[in-house]
This record gives sequence, structure tokens and C-alpha cells, in this order.
Amino acid sequence: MTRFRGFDRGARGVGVRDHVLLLPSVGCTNRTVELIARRCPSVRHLTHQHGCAQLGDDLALSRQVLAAVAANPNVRAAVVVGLGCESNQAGDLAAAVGDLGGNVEVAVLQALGGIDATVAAAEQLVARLDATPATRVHADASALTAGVIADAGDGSAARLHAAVVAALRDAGLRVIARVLRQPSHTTRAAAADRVEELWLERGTGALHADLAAAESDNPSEALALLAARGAQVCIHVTAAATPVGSPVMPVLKVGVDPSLRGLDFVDVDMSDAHDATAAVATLVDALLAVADGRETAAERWGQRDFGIPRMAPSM
Amino acid sequence: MDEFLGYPRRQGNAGVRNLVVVMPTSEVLNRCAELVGEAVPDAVCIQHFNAAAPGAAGFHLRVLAGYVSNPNVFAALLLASGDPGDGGEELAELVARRGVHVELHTLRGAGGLGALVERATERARSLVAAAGAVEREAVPMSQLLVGTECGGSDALSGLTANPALGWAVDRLVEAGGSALLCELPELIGAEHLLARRAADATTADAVVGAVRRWEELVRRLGVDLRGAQPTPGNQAGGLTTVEEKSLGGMAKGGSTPVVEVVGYGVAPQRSGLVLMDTPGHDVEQMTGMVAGGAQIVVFTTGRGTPTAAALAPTIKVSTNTAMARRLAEHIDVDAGGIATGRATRQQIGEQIWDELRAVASGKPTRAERFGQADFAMPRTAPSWYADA
Amino acid sequence: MRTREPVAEVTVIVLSAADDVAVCVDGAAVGDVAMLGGEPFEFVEAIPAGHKVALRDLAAGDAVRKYGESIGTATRAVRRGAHVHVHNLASARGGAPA
Repeated sequence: MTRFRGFDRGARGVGVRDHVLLLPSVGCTNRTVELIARRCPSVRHLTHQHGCAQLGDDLALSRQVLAAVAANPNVRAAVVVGLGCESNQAGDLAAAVGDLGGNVEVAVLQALGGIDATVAAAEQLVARLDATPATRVHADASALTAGVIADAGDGSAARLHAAVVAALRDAGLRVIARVLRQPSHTTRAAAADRVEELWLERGTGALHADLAAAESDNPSEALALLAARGAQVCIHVTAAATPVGSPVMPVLKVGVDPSLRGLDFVDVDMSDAHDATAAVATLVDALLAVADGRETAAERWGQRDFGIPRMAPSM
Repeated sequence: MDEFLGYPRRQGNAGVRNLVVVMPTSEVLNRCAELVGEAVPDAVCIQHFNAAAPGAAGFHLRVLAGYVSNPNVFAALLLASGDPGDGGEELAELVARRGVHVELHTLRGAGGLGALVERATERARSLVAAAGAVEREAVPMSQLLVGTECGGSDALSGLTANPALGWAVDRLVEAGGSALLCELPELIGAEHLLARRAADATTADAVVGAVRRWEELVRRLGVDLRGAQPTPGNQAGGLTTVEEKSLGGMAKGGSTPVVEVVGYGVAPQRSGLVLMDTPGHDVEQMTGMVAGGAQIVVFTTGRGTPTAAALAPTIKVSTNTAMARRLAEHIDVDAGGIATGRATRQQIGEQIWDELRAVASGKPTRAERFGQADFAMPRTAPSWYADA
Repeated sequence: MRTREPVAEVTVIVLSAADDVAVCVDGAAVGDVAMLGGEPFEFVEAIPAGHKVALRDLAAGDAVRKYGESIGTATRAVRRGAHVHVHNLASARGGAPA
């Protein structure tokens, strides 16, 4: 099976989900977003603690990541919930989403007059966005970008990771791959209690916001980068007990340790994979089924982990 | 009488709330905490942001331990993965040592996400019932450590709300209590004035050193602070430079000497006005205050922001009456009358003092009605190194 | 020079005797006049609510005082009665290296 049914997003490509996404431009409206989401059970939402008190290009990168995630092909439309006084102005963020071809509406708390008014306004926006169905199209594997991440651990996940990446590419998918390194530089400044020492280890000199160059070993941030780079589906290979998922992409969890067998946040157990080739082929099929609509465990649980890579501390 | 009705703790301090906190030790357990919170709305379920970066595990652990040991906490439920190195056992040990009832529940221990949610929900429900059965007792106001903050500031912040808060802070210090003045990047331009009224030369040097270290960090990072401070909202509201913002912000601390400078999340050893080294980020600073033992936060705002500390009731004071009316559901005290001559600094200061006592004794703040429970650790390292 | 009746609602707050600027709580229009220290003071530019007005002429490079302390440097000449904000006042702190 190399075809799947997706959602036509025109220039943005094909999505495998048809989400309406709520996102705050700044962490101050996180709770507001949560309250809107309670009243609109069909929407996805993400929360974060960025968007203000950030320096220069560090702020610009946050905006780029948020905009790109909101423009991911899995997102039918996004509602940006702004505060009004923040550095990451909701209007600018919405414009950036529009520039990427995404559909976006805005609700600003200080302009609307508080949480209640913002929840009411957002509910109306969501109702309108919910009513416009996306067109389903048949697409083949080449329309898919798969993010494949693995926790470094003892190496077993990394080995399987390499095999999965190769198999997906052979199947015609575009793949963005990363092995998440364990914190190897925990020994650096082990007693560091002063925030600035670790920041200065990156060296001095101007910060440049470049979404293409950003990286992170933090799972929430790594997944956000994949979504920002257009991945519609993800595979997470791990020996750790980590249920991490994404608000906009299905994340297929592959366990490589026997202790994860049968746990309710793991989709596929490959701890006992004697025939790597056959096992990996099954995985490719499973991923295409997910693209076609099969729900992953992370989706079932509502895992909506999200983070933004940072280059500078908050001010 | 300078008393409130609170919860005396075995450790000798006292809380203004008797909370059950559900704390994920890493962001991946946020959803689990959220599900527990949906089942047990009276528990405070934290959404963890900015988990430990490489190299900062010690800092992170210390701050989290202080956080869930805040005097407002009756019991802490920690959620961890159960993987080796997840930090759960260490954190539980630190918290237990502080005499707080703490339980650690793990994904591996429970045998799955559903089982962990079920177990944590059952425990949270039981602990909330036990917490609710405890009666309040008379506690002197001197037991209060009040965190002060300004967010969404405008030009009136330094004219109305901050000076009124400073009046209340003076009153608290006079009664033997303590207050925290934080957000050091937003004291750039005013640090020499605070140093002048430090309790001694060492503290004066510490004040100047702490503030200038932020300025130096910004310089060495090769960025211009002027793009970040003041914010667009500050500027729309009339604040032009960081110095102007700082001079207005400083007024929150009142007029008593700065007796100590403490690091992020560190509990003060001396009583009076204490400077805590935090970023200006609204939520990161509140998290540090709570980790250092602050039981209440008083938060002045000009543009109007709904944020509030997860474990400490946060009293919102508006700088101007127009916003207090437009965002009435988010404001506890309006200081706007000072600008128009309808009220004096002392009158609003007394209102803040009365509100402190009432909230300490159980009156819910506007933010508590919305369930605002904001949390964020300060970022301690870049997410990646360009030359690594 | 055009004169008008003083506008009683124009509230201006001067925080310290040495200050170069005052805060216009509700803003002011061109030609509005406020009473400051018993003397009429005229606004030569519109001032948005909460923003600052120059109490005296300032030269480029002058330190600008509010609260009795410097809040930055004038980046161009400013007339008494004019709006003082980001277009003519810059911070002296936190700047990036040249």
C-alpha cells in the first residue's frame, strides 16, 4: 500500500489530519486556550511559555516555529489567542501563518475584554472553521514527510531508527530524522547555579533566527521542529517510558525494550524483532495506516506536547 | 490586628491555602497531570514548562523541591516516568526532608498511562478531602512572604499601582513580614537607588552586581536589550526605556532597606525586603517566588494580564481605572484613582493590605476563579549549540 | 501664537522638581493648556494617554530626567510641550556592542 487518503491543502501539500488548532501567541493566554478547548472538544490546542521577555532573534525564532506549526498541512485552520501587550503580537504571528499558506483567525484578550469574552469569540471562530470541511484526496507516499526520532539510550533505539529511516525512504517518503542525545554535557558546570554560565557556552556573537538550522534533543521541541518542517506523521523509537505526542501530528510509538511491551502508550513492540527487515516493513505499513486515519496511542491519550528551541534566556 | 487565618506548618511557617499539588517531573507527563486535574478540579495540576536542560539538573531539582514544598502545600503528588535518571526519587527525597507529605507515582510503576491517571486521581481525591478537613487558625501577618510583580506595565504603573503596593509592603515589613522584589532585568537603571538603601555594604554590592550581571549577559550574548524591554504593550502605554520602566517598577518594594539578595527560588534567611534574582518573564518570576516560599503574590498591571502563580493566590492591582473596568473579571484592586486624585497612595495601599489579609484568610482572587495556575522554570541553556 | 482657555481635564503629573518630562494621564491635544506651578503650559503636539511631554527644550544628547533620575538620552532636539517617546528618546542601558 503506497496510497493513503489525505486532506488537500493546495500549495501546503496534503495533510493526514484535519485539525482546527488553538494556540496562544504568548504563555499568558495558555489558560484561556485551555478554557476554549474545554468548550470545543473537537479542536487541538497547544500551550507554551514563550512570546514575551525574549531577546531579538530568539523571539523571531519562536514566532517562526509557532507560525510554521500552525501552517502544518495537518491543520485546517488555526486560531491565535493573543493577549495584546506581548512581544509576539498575535497579528504578526497570524500574518506569518498566512505567508506560509495557512488559514488563521485571531482573538485578542485585552481588546475583547477578558477571558469570558475571548472564550465566547473563539468559540464562534471555531464553529465557523469547523463548518468548512476539507477535501479528501488520494495521495501516495511521496506526499508524506515522516519525522523519525529515537532516544539515544543504550543504542538499541538508534539502530532500529536507522533501519526505519532507510525503509521509509525506500518506500518513497521524505524523512527527517534525529536521534535525541542524552544530556551528555551534564558534567559541564555540574554545580552551575548561575543561569548565565550555560548560555555563554554557546559562544558570544549575534543570534540568528534560522528555522532550518534549529535543533533540539528535548522531545517536545524536537517534535515541534518536525511539525514546523512540514512532517505530517512521526515515529518515535524508544526504550524509555515516554508517552510524548504532538498536538498536530500522529506520533507512532515504537518500544524497543521488553519492559514496554503491552503498555497503553506504546503502539508497536519491537523489543523482540529477530527479523529486522520484516519488522521494519510492518512498521512502514503501520505508518501508512496512521496516515490513512488510524489513531495512535498518543492521539488517543491527547498528548499534546510542545516546546520551542531557545537561543537566549528570558529577560 | 495583624493576623490572618491560615495553616501553620510543622516546619514553623504557615500557608494561606492547603493545596494538593500534582507535579509532573517532566513535560511528557503534563497530559497525565491534566487528566488528573479534570477528575479532581480542587487539586492544582501543574503543566511543566522548560524542564531541565543539560547541565542544569541540580538547579532544576533544587527549585522544584522548594516549589512543591511551599507553605501553601498540604501534599505533593509527583509524576515521573520511572526510568533510571528521571529525577523522581531524588526530588521526592528532597521534599520529604522538608517535612511535606510527598508521594511519587511513576508510569512504569503503575504499568501504563491509564493506570497512572487512575492511581494519581484516586490519591489526589483522597488528599484533597483530607486537606479540606483541616481548619484554619490565627497566624500573625509576620509569617507572610509576599511576592511583588508587575506585568503588562504602562506609564501609570510607577505612579499608581506600584507606589500603592510599596505602601502595603512597608506596612508588611513593619509588621515583621517580608516581601520579594524580583525581575532584575527590569531594575536596570534603578539598581543604584536600591543599593543606596541596602541594609549594609555587602548587600548593596550584591544588589548592583546581580542587576548588572543581567546587563552584562545581554551584552555578551550580542543582543540589544532595547528590542525586548520595554515590550510593545509597555511602549503603547507610554514607557519608553528600560530605565523608565525600572524606576517605576522599583516602587513596588516600598521604602525599607533591602536586607538580602537571594538567588532564584532560594528562601530568604532575613526578614524584610529581599531582592530575588529572577528574570522579568511574568511566569518564570512567580515560579521562583513560590519556590522561595512566597505564599501570596501581588501583581500590578496596566494593560491587564490574567496570569497567576499556580501555588500562590495572586492579587491583581490595576494601574488605571479604564482597564479595571474593561477587564473587571481579572482585577482585584484598582489603583487608578491615584492618577486622577480620587484616592491617595495610602488609601489604595490600605486596600491592598486589607486584600492581603482577606486573601490570606481564604478569600479567592479573581485569578483563582479562572483556575489560572501558571508555571515555568527559567531557561538555563540553549536548546542547541551552533558549533557543537 | 494661538491661545485657548486652559483645559481643566488635562491632568499632568510631574514626579520630581528636576524632571524634564511629565506624564499626561489622559493625553492632550495640540493647543491644550495645563496649569503647572501656577503658570500656563501649552502642548505643541498631541500626546497619547499616559505618554510624556517635554517640560523644557532639550538638545540632542541631553540626559532626560523623570523620577529625578535619568531615563535615557534625547536622540534629537525636543521642544517644550512636545511628545517624548521612542522617536526622540533612547535608553542608555542594555545596548549591544557597536
